[in-house]
Amino acid sequence: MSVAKTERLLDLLAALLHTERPLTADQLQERIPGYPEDKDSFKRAFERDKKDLRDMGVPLRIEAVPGRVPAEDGYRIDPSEYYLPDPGLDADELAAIHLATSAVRLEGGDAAAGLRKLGAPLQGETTSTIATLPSAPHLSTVFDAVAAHRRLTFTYNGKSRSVDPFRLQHRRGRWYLQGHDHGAGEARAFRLDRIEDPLTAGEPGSAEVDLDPAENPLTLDGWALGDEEPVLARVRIAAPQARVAVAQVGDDVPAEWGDDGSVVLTLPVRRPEGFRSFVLGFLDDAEVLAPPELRDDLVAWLSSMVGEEPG
Amino acid sequence: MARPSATDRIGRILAIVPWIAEHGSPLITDVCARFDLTPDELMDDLAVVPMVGLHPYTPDSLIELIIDDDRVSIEYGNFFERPLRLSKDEALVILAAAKASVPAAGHDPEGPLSRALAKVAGVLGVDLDDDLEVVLEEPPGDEVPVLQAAVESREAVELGYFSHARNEHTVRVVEPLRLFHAEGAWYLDAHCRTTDADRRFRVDRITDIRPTGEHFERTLDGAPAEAFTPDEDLPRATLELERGGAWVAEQYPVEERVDLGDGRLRVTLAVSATPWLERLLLRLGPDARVVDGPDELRQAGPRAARRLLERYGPGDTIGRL
Repeated sequence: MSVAKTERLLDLLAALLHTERPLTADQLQERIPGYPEDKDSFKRAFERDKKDLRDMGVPLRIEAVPGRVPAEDGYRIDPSEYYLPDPGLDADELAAIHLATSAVRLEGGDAAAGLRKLGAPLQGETTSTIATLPSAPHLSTVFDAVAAHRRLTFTYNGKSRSVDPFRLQHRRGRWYLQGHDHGAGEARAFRLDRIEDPLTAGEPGSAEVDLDPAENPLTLDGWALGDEEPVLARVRIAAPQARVAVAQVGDDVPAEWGDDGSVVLTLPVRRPEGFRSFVLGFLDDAEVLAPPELRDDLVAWLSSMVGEEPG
Repeated sequence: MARPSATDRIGRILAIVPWIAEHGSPLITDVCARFDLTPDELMDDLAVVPMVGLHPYTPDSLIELIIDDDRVSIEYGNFFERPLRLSKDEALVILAAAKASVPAAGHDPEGPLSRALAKVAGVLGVDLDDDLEVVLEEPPGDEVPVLQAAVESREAVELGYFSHARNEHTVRVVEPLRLFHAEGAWYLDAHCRTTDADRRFRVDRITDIRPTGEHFERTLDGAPAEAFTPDEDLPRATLELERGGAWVAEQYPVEERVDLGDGRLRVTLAVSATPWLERLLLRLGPDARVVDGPDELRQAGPRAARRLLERYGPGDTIGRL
């Protein structure tokens, strides 16, 4: 970019930040050095500049200029919308943020621009990246919607949804949105990578959020999903995969360890299909002990597969 | 982002100018360190600043930037008092990284990371307890810190490992080179002395770790591939999937995909080891059929089903495992 354009954009920003009254395009053409005199050329240059400012996140306001007849629109920037309030970070806090962003990356994201604004050092102690969080369509829009209580509309599983979001969550390598789904009349979770376009976000405050996230945990285990009353299932996992299984189901599931290194888990199963997939994932190392109906379900499933053996 | 450099330089200037003003007359070397610039790059960025100001652009309405030997200051006309607010993307990158790092920093609510997070969330208007959760699942034991220490001290360790693909337990001595989290699991890249090859291990399948006290010199050559890249030599299986099994094409790297209509698909997959395919077929049940591939793979599903059924067969005794 030419020095002239850098200077012109900075002059434009300074003018818009330090004016009480909105400035019309004509006034800006007169005042800002470097704009072409020809009307059409000016218009094109000004449109590009406005787009550049907006792409940078500058909150450009378009307002009617007071007292003009006929009415005319002008531009200005409200300093309170533009200026980042000073978070008052101490040196050790700035260093901690810098270290965190070097350890955990967001796919396709760059922390430098944000760190610079916070005054965090871009040099200093770093670590090799230890985790990369995946990107997802609409990730930052959804995050903003949660923070600013914006109602979201989008299509999911072929249905159009109107959702008041209350949490964005990264679990098991994916991003999930939790919110009150107006169509379903209850809290639901949505995988961001399955949200279909177009997604639109309402005005700040358009979402009514009165759900307590603590009472609406995100359930990802196939056997725990659904609205059925849970059935307590006991499954034994043999030693080679016992620890893997315990890690997978988490601390809330009762685990009885045997002397041989095996473990018996007691799972509240709401969805037999999900339970079946969980058990079969351990191949020969898992056995359903109880209840009989889940044992029978598994036997029926396996029997149906045996019949299909080719040749 | 047609012209990334256009807004990049302005973005830097809009952060550097308020910082200089706030810090009086900081050393140029400090500004450079803070913003990760060389002195030449910094001077390039600042060159335009003294020409910026307000109408009518007389000397007293321009930014007065003074460079005096090794210091820089803004004497007058600081028209950019504070940096621009963070964009949605900039805010998320930082908050997600910080949230994910809190467990590693020991969950200390008085620690610098927690304090920083609370302050930043405050100015961004985010309720950090409720709005955002970033979980990097860890195995229940202390494998992650133990392996991280081994990577840092370059100490070889003996690993008990359950190979998911081969469905077998092995013990081997490895040189741990890198520990990282991706797609919901922790992985260890290590040089396996037993096979004299670089291997990737899923930490939640490591059954035990024994220190050897031996140190090694090897370093990681370049960045290893992040994702599973199928080996050319691996056998392939072609599956016909009913509508209910179409998720396979989403979840696994399928090499060929033919739409058969009515939501049915034909896909070809690289099979790293037979137990991996058995697991997939057992979960899919009637929703999948192997239609092409070596005999061993074509019969993998029914054979595995029969093997597992023996445990539940007529007159079975619960708990034969």
